[in-house]
Amino acid sequence: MRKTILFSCLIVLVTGICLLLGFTYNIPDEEKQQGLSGQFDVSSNGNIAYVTYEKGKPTLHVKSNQVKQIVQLPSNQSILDLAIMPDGKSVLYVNSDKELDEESSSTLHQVDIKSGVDKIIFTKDAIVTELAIDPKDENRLFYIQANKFSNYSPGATLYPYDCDVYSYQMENDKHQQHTELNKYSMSSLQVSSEDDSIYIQMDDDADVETEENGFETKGRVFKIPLANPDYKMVISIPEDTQDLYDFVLIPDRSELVYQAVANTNSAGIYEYELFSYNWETQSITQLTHLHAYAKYPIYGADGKVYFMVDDDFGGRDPENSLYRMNPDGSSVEEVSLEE
Amino acid sequence: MASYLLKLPLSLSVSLLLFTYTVYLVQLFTLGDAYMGWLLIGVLMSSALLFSCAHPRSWMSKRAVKNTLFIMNSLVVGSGTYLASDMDQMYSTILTIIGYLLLAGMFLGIYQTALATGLETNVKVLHVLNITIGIVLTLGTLYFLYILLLFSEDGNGAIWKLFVPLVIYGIIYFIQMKVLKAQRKRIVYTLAAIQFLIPVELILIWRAVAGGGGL
Repeated sequence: MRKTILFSCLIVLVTGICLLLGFTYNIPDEEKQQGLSGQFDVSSNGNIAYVTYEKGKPTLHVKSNQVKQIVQLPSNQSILDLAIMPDGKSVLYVNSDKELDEESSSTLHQVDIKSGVDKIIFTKDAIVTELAIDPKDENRLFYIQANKFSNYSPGATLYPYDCDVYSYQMENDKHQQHTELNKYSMSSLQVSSEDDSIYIQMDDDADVETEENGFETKGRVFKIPLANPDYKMVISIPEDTQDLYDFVLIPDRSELVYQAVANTNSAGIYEYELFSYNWETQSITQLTHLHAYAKYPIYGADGKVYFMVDDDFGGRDPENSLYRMNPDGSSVEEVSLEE
Repeated sequence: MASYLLKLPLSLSVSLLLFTYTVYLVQLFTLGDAYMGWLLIGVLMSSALLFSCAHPRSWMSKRAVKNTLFIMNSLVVGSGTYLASDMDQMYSTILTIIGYLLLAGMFLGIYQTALATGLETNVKVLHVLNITIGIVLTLGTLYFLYILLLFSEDGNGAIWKLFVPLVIYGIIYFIQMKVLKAQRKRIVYTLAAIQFLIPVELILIWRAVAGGGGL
Protein backbone atom coordinates (compact mmCIF):
# COMPACT_ATOMS: atom_id res chain seq x y z
CA MET A 1 0.00 0.00 0.00
CA ARG A 2 2.83 2.36 0.85
CA LYS A 3 4.29 1.72 -2.57
CA THR A 4 1.01 2.67 -4.23
CA ILE A 5 0.75 5.91 -2.30
CA LEU A 6 4.35 6.74 -3.12
CA PHE A 7 3.80 6.03 -6.79
CA SER A 8 0.57 8.03 -6.91
CA CYS A 9 2.33 10.99 -5.30
CA LEU A 10 5.08 10.75 -7.90
CA ILE A 11 2.57 10.68 -10.78
CA VAL A 12 0.62 13.61 -9.35
CA LEU A 13 3.84 15.56 -8.88
CA VAL A 14 5.17 14.93 -12.40
CA THR A 15 1.76 15.67 -13.95
CA GLY A 16 1.53 18.85 -11.92
CA ILE A 17 4.94 19.98 -13.16
CA CYS A 18 3.91 19.18 -16.75
CA LEU A 19 0.72 21.24 -16.40
CA LEU A 20 2.69 24.12 -14.88
CA LEU A 21 5.14 23.98 -17.79
CA GLY A 22 2.14 23.90 -20.11
CA PHE A 23 0.73 27.12 -18.68
CA THR A 24 4.15 28.78 -18.90
CA TYR A 25 5.32 27.67 -22.32
CA ASN A 26 2.08 27.29 -24.25
CA ILE A 27 2.10 29.70 -27.19
CA PRO A 28 -1.33 30.86 -28.42
CA ASP A 29 -1.87 30.02 -32.10
CA GLU A 30 -1.91 33.62 -33.23
CA GLU A 31 1.53 34.24 -31.69
CA LYS A 32 3.24 31.33 -33.41
CA GLN A 33 4.09 32.96 -36.72
CA GLN A 34 7.64 34.13 -37.07
CA GLY A 35 9.70 35.47 -39.96
CA LEU A 36 8.82 36.86 -43.38
CA SER A 37 5.13 36.71 -44.27
CA GLY A 38 5.84 36.82 -48.01
CA GLN A 39 4.31 40.23 -48.82
CA PHE A 40 6.83 42.75 -50.16
CA ASP A 41 7.30 45.54 -52.68
CA VAL A 42 10.31 47.20 -54.28
CA SER A 43 10.26 50.93 -54.96
CA SER A 44 11.77 52.76 -57.91
CA ASN A 45 14.72 53.87 -55.78
CA GLY A 46 15.43 50.32 -54.69
CA ASN A 47 13.87 50.41 -51.22
CA ILE A 48 12.24 47.19 -50.14
CA ALA A 49 9.12 47.17 -47.99
CA TYR A 50 8.28 43.83 -46.40
CA VAL A 51 6.27 42.21 -43.64
CA THR A 52 7.59 39.94 -40.92
CA TYR A 53 5.85 38.29 -38.02
CA GLU A 54 7.42 38.86 -34.64
CA LYS A 55 5.76 36.43 -32.21
CA GLY A 56 2.70 36.63 -34.44
CA LYS A 57 2.67 40.44 -34.64
CA PRO A 58 2.67 41.59 -38.27
CA THR A 59 5.42 44.15 -38.64
CA LEU A 60 6.08 46.35 -41.65
CA HIS A 61 9.70 47.25 -42.39
CA VAL A 62 11.35 49.31 -45.08
CA LYS A 63 14.93 48.60 -46.04
CA SER A 64 16.87 51.41 -47.66
CA ASN A 65 20.38 51.93 -46.32
CA GLN A 66 19.19 50.68 -43.01
CA VAL A 67 16.16 48.69 -41.94
CA LYS A 68 13.38 50.68 -40.36
CA GLN A 69 10.35 49.29 -38.60
CA ILE A 70 7.37 51.33 -39.71
CA VAL A 71 4.30 49.60 -38.31
CA GLN A 72 3.57 46.83 -35.84
CA LEU A 73 0.04 45.49 -35.44
CA PRO A 74 -1.39 43.27 -32.68
CA SER A 75 -1.01 39.52 -33.11
CA ASN A 76 -4.68 38.99 -34.01
CA GLN A 77 -4.19 41.10 -37.15
CA SER A 78 -2.56 40.39 -40.47
CA ILE A 79 -1.22 42.48 -43.33
CA LEU A 80 -2.69 41.15 -46.57
CA ASP A 81 -0.75 43.22 -49.08
CA LEU A 82 1.33 46.35 -49.39
CA ALA A 83 2.53 48.74 -52.08
CA ILE A 84 5.11 51.51 -52.01
CA MET A 85 3.78 54.79 -53.41
CA PRO A 86 5.59 55.83 -56.62
CA ASP A 87 7.22 58.80 -54.86
CA GLY A 88 8.80 56.32 -52.45
CA LYS A 89 7.79 58.35 -49.42
CA SER A 90 4.93 56.30 -48.06
CA VAL A 91 3.62 52.76 -48.08
CA LEU A 92 0.06 51.58 -48.52
CA TYR A 93 -0.96 48.45 -46.69
CA VAL A 94 -4.19 46.63 -46.09
CA ASN A 95 -4.88 44.82 -42.86
CA SER A 96 -7.58 42.50 -41.56
CA ASP A 97 -8.15 39.88 -38.88
CA LYS A 98 -5.71 36.99 -38.82
CA GLU A 99 -8.61 34.57 -38.33
CA LEU A 100 -11.03 35.71 -41.00
CA ASP A 101 -14.76 35.40 -40.44
CA GLU A 102 -17.94 36.78 -41.98
CA GLU A 103 -17.64 39.94 -39.91
CA SER A 104 -14.05 40.64 -40.96
CA SER A 105 -13.38 43.92 -42.70
CA SER A 106 -10.24 45.29 -44.34
CA THR A 107 -8.66 48.64 -43.74
CA LEU A 108 -6.31 50.43 -46.11
CA HIS A 109 -3.61 52.49 -44.42
CA GLN A 110 -1.06 54.91 -45.74
CA VAL A 111 2.03 55.23 -43.59
CA ASP A 112 4.76 57.79 -44.04
CA ILE A 113 8.16 56.10 -44.08
CA LYS A 114 10.06 58.99 -42.52
CA SER A 115 7.68 60.05 -39.76
CA GLY A 116 5.82 56.79 -39.28
CA VAL A 117 2.49 58.67 -39.31
CA ASP A 118 -0.25 56.19 -40.18
CA LYS A 119 -3.56 57.31 -41.63
CA ILE A 120 -6.58 55.23 -42.59
CA ILE A 121 -7.69 55.70 -46.18
CA PHE A 122 -10.76 53.47 -46.23
CA THR A 123 -12.40 50.48 -44.58
CA LYS A 124 -14.47 47.89 -46.44
CA ASP A 125 -16.73 45.15 -45.15
CA ALA A 126 -14.99 42.54 -47.28
CA ILE A 127 -11.50 41.20 -47.70
CA VAL A 128 -9.10 43.17 -49.86
CA THR A 129 -6.52 40.62 -50.91
CA GLU A 130 -4.27 42.64 -53.21
CA LEU A 131 -3.28 46.21 -54.00
CA ALA A 132 -1.79 47.78 -57.12
CA ILE A 133 -1.14 51.44 -57.79
CA ASP A 134 -1.88 52.73 -61.27
CA PRO A 135 1.48 53.68 -62.84
CA LYS A 136 -0.31 56.27 -64.99
CA ASP A 137 -2.05 57.98 -62.08
CA GLU A 138 -0.62 57.58 -58.62
CA ASN A 139 -3.87 58.69 -57.03
CA ARG A 140 -5.68 55.71 -58.45
CA LEU A 141 -5.43 52.43 -56.65
CA PHE A 142 -6.69 49.06 -57.85
CA TYR A 143 -7.55 46.21 -55.54
CA ILE A 144 -9.01 42.71 -55.50
CA GLN A 145 -11.91 42.29 -53.15
CA ALA A 146 -13.30 38.95 -51.97
CA ASN A 147 -16.91 39.11 -50.86
CA LYS A 148 -17.64 35.66 -49.48
CA PHE A 149 -16.07 32.95 -47.42
CA SER A 150 -15.94 29.21 -47.45
CA ASN A 151 -14.12 26.67 -45.38
CA TYR A 152 -12.67 23.55 -46.90
CA SER A 153 -13.55 21.31 -43.98
CA PRO A 154 -15.05 21.80 -40.53
CA GLY A 155 -12.61 23.51 -38.23
CA ALA A 156 -10.46 24.85 -41.05
CA THR A 157 -10.02 28.58 -41.36
CA LEU A 158 -12.31 30.50 -43.66
CA TYR A 159 -11.04 31.19 -47.10
CA PRO A 160 -12.16 34.31 -48.98
CA TYR A 161 -13.58 33.90 -52.47
CA ASP A 162 -15.94 35.60 -54.91
CA CYS A 163 -13.26 38.00 -56.13
CA ASP A 164 -13.55 41.05 -58.33
CA VAL A 165 -11.40 44.00 -59.27
CA TYR A 166 -12.19 47.45 -57.90
CA SER A 167 -10.47 50.79 -57.99
CA TYR A 168 -10.30 53.75 -55.67
CA GLN A 169 -9.64 57.39 -56.45
CA MET A 170 -7.82 58.98 -53.56
CA GLU A 171 -8.71 62.54 -54.56
CA ASN A 172 -12.46 62.16 -54.48
CA ASP A 173 -12.74 59.07 -52.25
CA LYS A 174 -14.62 57.11 -54.92
CA HIS A 175 -14.73 53.32 -55.29
CA GLN A 176 -15.56 51.69 -58.59
CA GLN A 177 -16.19 48.04 -59.39
CA HIS A 178 -14.62 47.00 -62.69
CA THR A 179 -15.36 43.31 -63.10
CA GLU A 180 -18.37 41.17 -62.27
CA LEU A 181 -16.78 37.77 -62.47
CA ASN A 182 -17.24 36.46 -58.90
CA LYS A 183 -14.10 34.39 -59.33
CA TYR A 184 -13.06 31.76 -56.83
CA SER A 185 -9.58 33.19 -56.91
CA MET A 186 -7.71 36.08 -58.49
CA SER A 187 -4.12 37.05 -58.01
CA SER A 188 -1.15 39.06 -59.23
CA LEU A 189 -3.18 42.16 -60.05
CA GLN A 190 -1.20 44.54 -62.26
CA VAL A 191 -2.09 47.78 -63.95
CA SER A 192 -0.88 48.48 -67.47
CA SER A 193 1.43 51.45 -67.81
CA GLU A 194 0.41 51.98 -71.44
CA ASP A 195 -3.33 51.66 -71.86
CA ASP A 196 -6.33 51.69 -69.57
CA SER A 197 -6.34 48.02 -68.70
CA ILE A 198 -5.34 45.60 -65.97
CA TYR A 199 -3.72 42.19 -65.92
CA ILE A 200 -4.78 39.44 -63.58
CA GLN A 201 -4.31 35.73 -62.96
CA MET A 202 -7.41 33.57 -62.71
CA ASP A 203 -8.89 30.34 -63.99
CA ASP A 204 -9.72 30.20 -67.65
CA ASP A 205 -13.20 28.69 -67.44
CA ALA A 206 -14.75 30.13 -70.58
CA ASP A 207 -15.47 26.68 -71.98
CA VAL A 208 -16.65 25.16 -68.74
CA GLU A 209 -20.36 24.81 -68.36
CA THR A 210 -20.91 22.36 -65.56
CA GLU A 211 -19.42 22.24 -62.14
CA GLU A 212 -17.94 18.81 -62.74
CA ASN A 213 -15.60 20.20 -65.34
CA GLY A 214 -14.27 22.68 -62.83
CA PHE A 215 -11.07 20.72 -62.44
CA GLU A 216 -10.25 21.05 -66.09
CA THR A 217 -9.81 24.81 -65.97
CA LYS A 218 -6.35 26.24 -66.29
CA GLY A 219 -4.76 29.13 -64.47
CA ARG A 220 -4.03 31.84 -67.03
CA VAL A 221 -3.13 35.52 -67.26
CA PHE A 222 -5.86 37.84 -68.49
CA LYS A 223 -5.84 41.34 -69.84
CA ILE A 224 -9.02 43.24 -69.02
CA PRO A 225 -9.68 46.61 -70.72
CA LEU A 226 -11.37 48.82 -68.15
CA ALA A 227 -13.56 50.53 -70.71
CA ASN A 228 -15.04 47.19 -71.67
CA PRO A 229 -14.39 44.55 -69.00
CA ASP A 230 -16.39 41.90 -70.89
CA TYR A 231 -13.72 41.83 -73.58
CA LYS A 232 -11.19 40.20 -71.40
CA MET A 233 -8.59 38.15 -73.18
CA VAL A 234 -6.07 35.52 -72.30
CA ILE A 235 -2.47 36.58 -72.71
CA SER A 236 -1.28 34.19 -75.36
CA ILE A 237 0.72 31.22 -74.21
CA PRO A 238 0.93 27.79 -75.84
CA GLU A 239 -2.32 25.91 -75.25
CA ASP A 240 -0.73 22.90 -73.59
CA THR A 241 1.15 24.90 -70.98
CA GLN A 242 0.25 23.84 -67.45
CA ASP A 243 -1.45 26.07 -64.89
CA LEU A 244 0.35 29.28 -64.20
CA TYR A 245 -0.16 31.27 -61.04
CA ASP A 246 1.69 34.40 -59.88
CA PHE A 247 3.18 36.42 -62.69
CA VAL A 248 4.80 39.66 -63.69
CA LEU A 249 4.96 41.25 -67.13
CA ILE A 250 8.22 42.61 -68.45
CA PRO A 251 7.06 44.58 -71.52
CA ASP A 252 10.52 45.84 -72.55
CA ARG A 253 11.64 42.22 -72.99
CA SER A 254 8.25 41.02 -74.35
CA GLU A 255 8.22 38.52 -71.55
CA LEU A 256 5.91 37.08 -68.98
CA VAL A 257 7.58 35.71 -65.85
CA TYR A 258 5.27 33.25 -64.14
CA GLN A 259 5.04 30.68 -61.39
CA ALA A 260 4.19 27.07 -62.24
CA VAL A 261 4.74 23.56 -60.96
CA ALA A 262 8.04 22.17 -62.19
CA ASN A 263 8.43 18.95 -60.25
CA THR A 264 7.33 16.83 -57.35
CA ASN A 265 9.83 16.26 -54.57
CA SER A 266 10.51 12.96 -52.81
CA ALA A 267 7.79 13.65 -50.23
CA GLY A 268 5.21 14.12 -53.01
CA ILE A 269 5.04 17.90 -52.59
CA TYR A 270 4.96 20.13 -55.67
CA GLU A 271 7.96 22.30 -56.39
CA TYR A 272 7.02 25.67 -57.83
CA GLU A 273 9.59 27.46 -59.95
CA LEU A 274 9.58 30.63 -62.01
CA PHE A 275 9.44 30.42 -65.81
CA SER A 276 9.47 33.00 -68.53
CA TYR A 277 7.52 33.07 -71.75
CA ASN A 278 8.65 35.30 -74.58
CA TRP A 279 5.73 36.09 -76.85
CA GLU A 280 7.93 37.12 -79.76
CA THR A 281 9.99 33.96 -79.94
CA GLN A 282 7.18 31.96 -78.24
CA SER A 283 9.71 30.15 -76.12
CA ILE A 284 9.42 29.05 -72.51
CA THR A 285 12.46 29.03 -70.22
CA GLN A 286 12.67 27.71 -66.69
CA LEU A 287 14.38 30.47 -64.70
CA THR A 288 14.80 29.02 -61.20
CA HIS A 289 15.88 25.61 -59.96
CA LEU A 290 15.47 26.12 -56.23
CA HIS A 291 13.34 23.02 -55.52
CA ALA A 292 11.07 25.00 -53.23
CA TYR A 293 8.06 27.30 -53.63
CA ALA A 294 9.05 30.39 -55.61
CA LYS A 295 6.28 33.00 -55.63
CA TYR A 296 5.26 36.66 -56.00
CA PRO A 297 7.61 37.84 -58.76
CA ILE A 298 8.01 41.63 -58.97
CA TYR A 299 9.93 43.53 -61.64
CA GLY A 300 12.21 46.05 -59.94
CA ALA A 301 13.31 49.39 -61.34
CA ASP A 302 16.87 48.03 -61.37
CA GLY A 303 15.85 45.53 -64.06
CA LYS A 304 15.86 42.55 -61.71
CA VAL A 305 13.08 40.16 -60.85
CA TYR A 306 12.45 39.98 -57.10
CA PHE A 307 10.57 37.03 -55.67
CA MET A 308 9.90 35.11 -52.47
CA VAL A 309 10.95 31.52 -51.86
CA ASP A 310 9.30 29.29 -49.28
CA ASP A 311 11.66 26.49 -48.30
CA ASP A 312 9.09 24.62 -46.26
CA PHE A 313 6.10 24.56 -48.58
CA GLY A 314 3.59 21.99 -47.43
CA GLY A 315 5.10 22.15 -43.97
CA ARG A 316 3.66 23.64 -40.83
CA ASP A 317 4.98 27.17 -41.19
CA PRO A 318 6.37 28.87 -44.27
CA GLU A 319 10.06 29.70 -44.31
CA ASN A 320 10.21 32.62 -46.69
CA SER A 321 13.27 34.42 -47.98
CA LEU A 322 13.62 37.13 -50.60
CA TYR A 323 15.55 36.47 -53.81
CA ARG A 324 16.37 38.37 -56.96
CA MET A 325 17.71 37.46 -60.38
CA ASN A 326 18.12 38.78 -63.88
CA PRO A 327 15.03 38.28 -66.05
CA ASP A 328 16.90 35.61 -68.04
CA GLY A 329 17.33 33.52 -64.90
CA SER A 330 21.01 34.29 -64.33
CA SER A 331 22.65 35.34 -61.05
CA VAL A 332 19.96 34.15 -58.67
CA GLU A 333 20.83 35.48 -55.22
CA GLU A 334 19.20 35.85 -51.85
CA VAL A 335 18.54 39.44 -50.79
CA SER A 336 19.63 40.09 -47.25
CA LEU A 337 17.04 41.97 -45.25
CA GLU A 338 19.46 42.77 -42.50
CA GLU A 339 21.46 45.95 -42.19
CA MET B 1 7.43 -17.32 -19.48
CA ALA B 2 4.44 -17.06 -17.19
CA SER B 3 6.12 -14.54 -14.92
CA TYR B 4 7.20 -12.58 -17.97
CA LEU B 5 3.64 -12.46 -19.25
CA LEU B 6 2.45 -11.27 -15.86
CA LYS B 7 4.79 -8.34 -16.12
CA LEU B 8 3.62 -7.33 -19.60
CA PRO B 9 0.69 -5.16 -18.49
CA LEU B 10 2.76 -3.67 -15.70
CA SER B 11 5.63 -2.61 -17.95
CA LEU B 12 3.11 -1.53 -20.61
CA SER B 13 1.35 0.86 -18.28
CA VAL B 14 4.63 2.36 -17.06
CA SER B 15 5.85 2.85 -20.65
CA LEU B 16 2.51 4.37 -21.55
CA LEU B 17 2.85 6.85 -18.70
CA LEU B 18 6.31 7.83 -19.95
CA PHE B 19 5.03 7.99 -23.55
CA THR B 20 2.24 10.37 -22.50
CA TYR B 21 4.66 12.69 -20.72
CA THR B 22 7.14 12.61 -23.62
CA VAL B 23 4.58 13.38 -26.33
CA TYR B 24 3.14 16.20 -24.22
CA LEU B 25 6.52 17.77 -23.44
CA VAL B 26 7.88 17.49 -26.99
CA GLN B 27 4.68 19.06 -28.35
CA LEU B 28 4.98 21.84 -25.79
CA PHE B 29 8.62 22.69 -26.33
CA THR B 30 8.94 22.22 -30.09
CA LEU B 31 5.53 23.44 -31.24
CA GLY B 32 4.23 25.46 -28.32
CA ASP B 33 1.02 23.47 -27.93
CA ALA B 34 0.01 22.35 -24.43
CA TYR B 35 -2.45 19.46 -24.76
CA MET B 36 -3.36 19.49 -21.08
CA GLY B 37 -6.67 17.69 -21.42
CA TRP B 38 -5.02 14.89 -23.36
CA LEU B 39 -2.22 14.69 -20.78
CA LEU B 40 -4.69 14.38 -17.91
CA ILE B 41 -6.75 11.69 -19.65
CA GLY B 42 -3.57 9.82 -20.64
CA VAL B 43 -2.10 9.93 -17.15
CA LEU B 44 -5.40 8.94 -15.57
CA MET B 45 -5.87 5.99 -17.92
CA SER B 46 -2.33 4.66 -17.65
CA SER B 47 -2.32 5.09 -13.86
CA ALA B 48 -5.58 3.17 -13.64
CA LEU B 49 -4.06 0.38 -15.74
CA LEU B 50 -0.96 0.42 -13.57
CA PHE B 51 -3.09 0.16 -10.45
CA SER B 52 -5.21 -2.64 -11.85
CA CYS B 53 -2.07 -4.62 -12.78
CA ALA B 54 -0.29 -4.00 -9.50
CA HIS B 55 -3.29 -5.04 -7.39
CA PRO B 56 -4.56 -8.32 -8.82
CA ARG B 57 -7.15 -8.72 -6.09
CA SER B 58 -8.82 -5.33 -6.41
CA TRP B 59 -12.09 -4.90 -8.35
CA MET B 60 -10.11 -2.92 -10.88
CA SER B 61 -8.28 -6.00 -12.06
CA LYS B 62 -11.47 -7.79 -13.07
CA ARG B 63 -11.22 -8.93 -16.65
CA ALA B 64 -13.89 -6.61 -17.99
CA VAL B 65 -12.46 -3.56 -16.23
CA LYS B 66 -8.94 -4.38 -17.24
CA ASN B 67 -9.82 -4.84 -20.89
CA THR B 68 -11.84 -1.65 -20.90
CA LEU B 69 -8.73 0.08 -19.56
CA PHE B 70 -6.65 -1.53 -22.31
CA ILE B 71 -9.06 -0.23 -24.95
CA MET B 72 -9.10 3.27 -23.45
CA ASN B 73 -5.31 3.25 -23.30
CA SER B 74 -5.10 2.12 -26.92
CA LEU B 75 -7.09 5.22 -27.83
CA VAL B 76 -4.66 7.34 -25.79
CA VAL B 77 -1.69 5.79 -27.61
CA GLY B 78 -3.42 6.21 -30.95
CA SER B 79 -4.14 9.89 -30.36
CA GLY B 80 -0.60 10.36 -29.01
CA THR B 81 0.83 8.89 -32.20
CA TYR B 82 -1.41 11.22 -34.18
CA LEU B 83 -0.12 14.20 -32.17
CA ALA B 84 3.43 13.05 -32.86
CA SER B 85 2.86 13.17 -36.62
CA ASP B 86 2.86 16.97 -36.47
CA MET B 87 6.33 17.17 -34.96
CA ASP B 88 9.75 17.47 -36.56
CA GLN B 89 10.83 14.45 -38.58
CA MET B 90 13.12 12.94 -35.93
CA TYR B 91 10.70 13.15 -32.99
CA SER B 92 7.78 12.09 -35.11
CA THR B 93 9.57 8.97 -36.39
CA ILE B 94 10.77 7.83 -32.97
CA LEU B 95 7.47 8.50 -31.21
CA THR B 96 5.46 6.89 -34.00
CA ILE B 97 7.50 3.69 -33.76
CA ILE B 98 7.12 3.65 -29.97
CA GLY B 99 3.41 4.37 -30.39
CA TYR B 100 2.94 1.40 -32.72
CA LEU B 101 4.88 -0.90 -30.39
CA LEU B 102 2.74 0.21 -27.45
CA LEU B 103 -0.40 -0.33 -29.51
CA ALA B 104 0.75 -3.86 -30.36
CA GLY B 105 1.42 -4.38 -26.65
CA MET B 106 -2.10 -3.20 -25.79
CA PHE B 107 -3.63 -5.69 -28.23
CA LEU B 108 -1.51 -8.47 -26.74
CA GLY B 109 -2.67 -7.37 -23.32
CA ILE B 110 -6.31 -7.61 -24.39
CA TYR B 111 -5.82 -11.21 -25.66
CA GLN B 112 -3.86 -12.11 -22.53
CA THR B 113 -6.52 -10.79 -20.17
CA ALA B 114 -9.32 -12.51 -22.04
CA LEU B 115 -7.53 -15.85 -22.13
CA ALA B 116 -6.11 -15.67 -18.62
CA THR B 117 -7.55 -18.32 -16.37
CA GLY B 118 -8.49 -21.92 -17.07
CA LEU B 119 -11.07 -21.46 -19.82
CA GLU B 120 -12.09 -24.29 -22.14
CA THR B 121 -10.33 -24.34 -25.47
CA ASN B 122 -13.42 -23.60 -27.53
CA VAL B 123 -14.22 -20.60 -25.34
CA LYS B 124 -10.68 -19.33 -25.83
CA VAL B 125 -11.04 -19.68 -29.59
CA LEU B 126 -14.28 -17.71 -29.44
CA HIS B 127 -12.60 -14.93 -27.49
CA VAL B 128 -9.65 -14.73 -29.87
CA LEU B 129 -12.02 -14.61 -32.81
CA ASN B 130 -14.16 -11.87 -31.32
CA ILE B 131 -11.24 -9.77 -30.17
CA THR B 132 -9.56 -9.96 -33.56
CA ILE B 133 -12.72 -8.89 -35.35
CA GLY B 134 -13.17 -6.17 -32.72
CA ILE B 135 -9.70 -4.74 -33.33
CA VAL B 136 -10.14 -4.77 -37.10
CA LEU B 137 -13.56 -3.17 -36.75
CA THR B 138 -12.36 -0.43 -34.39
CA LEU B 139 -9.38 0.45 -36.56
CA GLY B 140 -11.61 0.49 -39.64
CA THR B 141 -14.24 2.68 -38.00
CA LEU B 142 -11.64 5.18 -36.78
CA TYR B 143 -9.96 5.25 -40.19
CA PHE B 144 -13.22 5.95 -42.03
CA LEU B 145 -14.15 8.55 -39.44
CA TYR B 146 -10.82 10.28 -39.94
CA ILE B 147 -11.19 10.38 -43.71
CA LEU B 148 -14.75 11.62 -43.47
CA LEU B 149 -13.83 14.44 -41.08
CA LEU B 150 -10.84 15.33 -43.22
CA PHE B 151 -12.60 15.56 -46.55
CA SER B 152 -16.30 16.11 -46.02
CA GLU B 153 -17.34 19.65 -46.84
CA ASP B 154 -19.63 20.89 -44.13
CA GLY B 155 -20.12 18.16 -41.59
CA ASN B 156 -21.95 14.96 -42.37
CA GLY B 157 -25.11 14.16 -40.49
CA ALA B 158 -24.81 10.46 -41.32
CA ILE B 159 -21.54 10.08 -39.42
CA TRP B 160 -23.17 8.20 -36.52
CA LYS B 161 -24.01 5.34 -38.90
CA LEU B 162 -20.34 4.43 -39.00
CA PHE B 163 -20.58 3.32 -35.38
CA VAL B 164 -23.51 0.98 -35.97
CA PRO B 165 -21.35 -2.07 -36.84
CA LEU B 166 -19.28 -1.58 -33.68
CA VAL B 167 -22.40 -1.49 -31.53
CA ILE B 168 -23.89 -4.59 -33.22
CA TYR B 169 -20.55 -6.32 -32.76
CA GLY B 170 -20.58 -5.51 -29.04
CA ILE B 171 -24.13 -6.80 -28.63
CA ILE B 172 -23.37 -10.05 -30.46
CA TYR B 173 -20.20 -10.59 -28.40
CA PHE B 174 -22.21 -10.03 -25.21
CA ILE B 175 -25.01 -12.42 -26.24
CA GLN B 176 -22.46 -15.08 -27.22
CA MET B 177 -20.95 -15.07 -23.74
CA LYS B 178 -24.36 -15.15 -22.07
CA VAL B 179 -25.58 -18.03 -24.26
CA LEU B 180 -22.30 -19.88 -23.72
CA LYS B 181 -23.09 -20.06 -20.02
CA ALA B 182 -26.42 -21.60 -20.91
CA GLN B 183 -24.57 -24.22 -23.01
CA ARG B 184 -26.47 -23.48 -26.24
CA LYS B 185 -23.54 -24.20 -28.54
CA ARG B 186 -25.35 -24.01 -31.87
CA ILE B 187 -26.55 -20.43 -31.25
CA VAL B 188 -23.06 -19.45 -30.13
CA TYR B 189 -21.42 -20.69 -33.32
CA THR B 190 -24.09 -19.14 -35.53
CA LEU B 191 -23.48 -15.82 -33.81
CA ALA B 192 -19.72 -16.25 -34.25
CA ALA B 193 -20.24 -16.75 -37.96
CA ILE B 194 -22.39 -13.61 -38.15
CA GLN B 195 -19.61 -11.74 -36.41
CA PHE B 196 -17.43 -12.26 -39.49
CA LEU B 197 -19.91 -10.30 -41.58
CA ILE B 198 -19.74 -7.17 -39.44
CA PRO B 199 -16.60 -5.70 -41.08
CA VAL B 200 -18.31 -6.19 -44.45
CA GLU B 201 -21.27 -4.27 -43.07
CA LEU B 202 -18.94 -1.45 -42.05
CA ILE B 203 -17.59 -1.19 -45.58
CA LEU B 204 -21.11 -1.17 -47.04
CA ILE B 205 -22.19 1.56 -44.62
CA TRP B 206 -19.05 3.52 -45.44
CA ARG B 207 -19.89 3.40 -49.13
CA ALA B 208 -23.41 4.59 -48.46
CA VAL B 209 -22.29 7.40 -46.16
CA ALA B 210 -19.47 8.65 -48.34
CA GLY B 211 -21.74 8.46 -51.35
CA GLY B 212 -21.37 6.30 -54.43
CA GLY B 213 -18.41 4.08 -53.63
CA GLY B 214 -15.74 6.04 -51.85
CA LEU B 215 -15.63 9.79 -52.13
